Amino acid sequence: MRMKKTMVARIFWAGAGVCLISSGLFFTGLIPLSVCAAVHVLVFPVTVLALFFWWMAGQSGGDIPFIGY
Amino acid sequence: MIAELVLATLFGLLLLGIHRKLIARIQRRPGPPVWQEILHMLKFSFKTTWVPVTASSTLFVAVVLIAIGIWTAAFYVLVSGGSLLVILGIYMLHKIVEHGFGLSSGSPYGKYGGVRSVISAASEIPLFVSVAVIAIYTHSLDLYAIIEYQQVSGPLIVAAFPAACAMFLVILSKMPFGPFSIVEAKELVSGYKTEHFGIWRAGLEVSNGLKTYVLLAVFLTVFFGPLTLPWLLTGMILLIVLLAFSCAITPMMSPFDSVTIQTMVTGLMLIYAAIVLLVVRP
Amino acid sequence: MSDPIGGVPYYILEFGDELVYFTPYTITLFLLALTFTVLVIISRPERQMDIAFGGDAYGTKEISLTELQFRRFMAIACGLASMGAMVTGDIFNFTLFTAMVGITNVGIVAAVKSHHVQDAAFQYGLVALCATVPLFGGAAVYAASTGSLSMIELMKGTLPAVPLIAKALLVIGVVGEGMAPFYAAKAEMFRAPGAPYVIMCSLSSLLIFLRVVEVVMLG
Repeated sequence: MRMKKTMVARIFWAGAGVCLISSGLFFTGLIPLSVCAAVHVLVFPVTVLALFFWWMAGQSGGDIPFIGY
Repeated sequence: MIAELVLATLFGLLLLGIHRKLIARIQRRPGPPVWQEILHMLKFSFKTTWVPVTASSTLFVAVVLIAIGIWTAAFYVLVSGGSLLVILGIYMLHKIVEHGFGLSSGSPYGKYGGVRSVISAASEIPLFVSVAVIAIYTHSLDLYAIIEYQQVSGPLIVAAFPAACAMFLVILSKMPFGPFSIVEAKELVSGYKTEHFGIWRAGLEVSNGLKTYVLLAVFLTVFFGPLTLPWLLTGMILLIVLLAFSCAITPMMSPFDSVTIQTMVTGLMLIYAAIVLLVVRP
Repeated sequence: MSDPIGGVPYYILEFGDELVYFTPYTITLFLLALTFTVLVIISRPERQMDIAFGGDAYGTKEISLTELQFRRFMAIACGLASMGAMVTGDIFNFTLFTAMVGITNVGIVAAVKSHHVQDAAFQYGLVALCATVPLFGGAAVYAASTGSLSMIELMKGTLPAVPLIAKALLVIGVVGEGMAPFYAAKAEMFRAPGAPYVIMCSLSSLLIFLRVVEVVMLG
């Protein structure tokens, strides 16, 4: 399965947006901490990995990975 | 809240870096800079990444997400003053994450790391006993109730010093380069994390940072009571100094010795809990 | 200690006398069991590398489709039993689920064609078999001394106190299903290839141990 750089970028921005919005809603008192926490538990890991994939992925084809001995 | 989460992760990684630097200085080596673990995380995140051909790909990837997810949950339980039992449960489930890391790759090194993680299950029992002792004193396991108890009756580290020692030992068994860290011993290359490279390893580093922060903060909250943020951070640094000394001056034990010592500590803690139950409870 | 130790139940689902309830603690454990069960369903087993030490030879262990299907079935059954044990509000149901976890754990590795794994599974099975005696004995003492097996009733604190022996028997029963110091055979079972399935072995006993900690603190 190959994911394009633009795709992981979208996942990252969506995840970061959800995290920020839920934090904002918690600070304004619209949602309780438990809901905010549940959202972060689900979204934060995906966002972190998407961020890493985003800045790791090259625009071009990339080199051939070393397969092993 | 997301800012706190990210800062906690980075501070946890910084603590691991301090830990590593101190061990090096105690052993008269120059050692890496204190922010090395943060750099490590960034370095791994830029590496080319794929899934090994022998791996169970879904589990291989999912376990990284679960590792970050469970410690995010633990962080929020800590922040909201929730039940100590939930944090304890998450700590135990970290073991399953270790199994998942080790077993999903198909590599024998990871596999043996996972198997060692199973046989060192004895290290968690002292944690249960110290939690039981705390429950005997405070009559509740909610962190805010434990804090309230300490505001009235003074820090628990005075009243339940052996329980604090047992919990310290439990944290020590999860620290890198410690006497009990047989799951990532060098004879197994890197133990359970051998095959998780590149971004998967960077994700593991994130979870390690968060784990270190949460475990140290829980220790300070449970045994020293309410601390303001500067004191909490100072306390964590002091605790990591103590852990670094313990790790630096002890060799890594063989799996058999490690399990034997942990089982002996469990036995001692059970006797201590029985004494507390008979003396304090009535 | 009459206040619920795992937190106040969010939701109670009643089936007449039997009930299921979700506290912050049990819901965390339930979701973990669910996550890993889903993983077992969707992931294929890894191909374990086998190296002949002292030589250059290596190969991968392949799992045949029939073996995979049987082990996946057993692992899913194990996941379902763990989920049941996490949320049940009845001591007897809890012991039943625990016994079922013991049986399915043997089942998960029963199809593996490895001498060591089979031996370990047999030894584990014997210990688990013996452990069901204190397990059900504990539940019986619960029923005899309090007149109820409902955890919600025990939580209210209106029933007679549960004798220490009942709690001890229950814990011994659960420990025998695969916690320290009876997990040695389980570590051997981990030699079996097929990561998502063998992980259910340790996950189920860990979760059940975590749940029994909450159960014995009630009443």
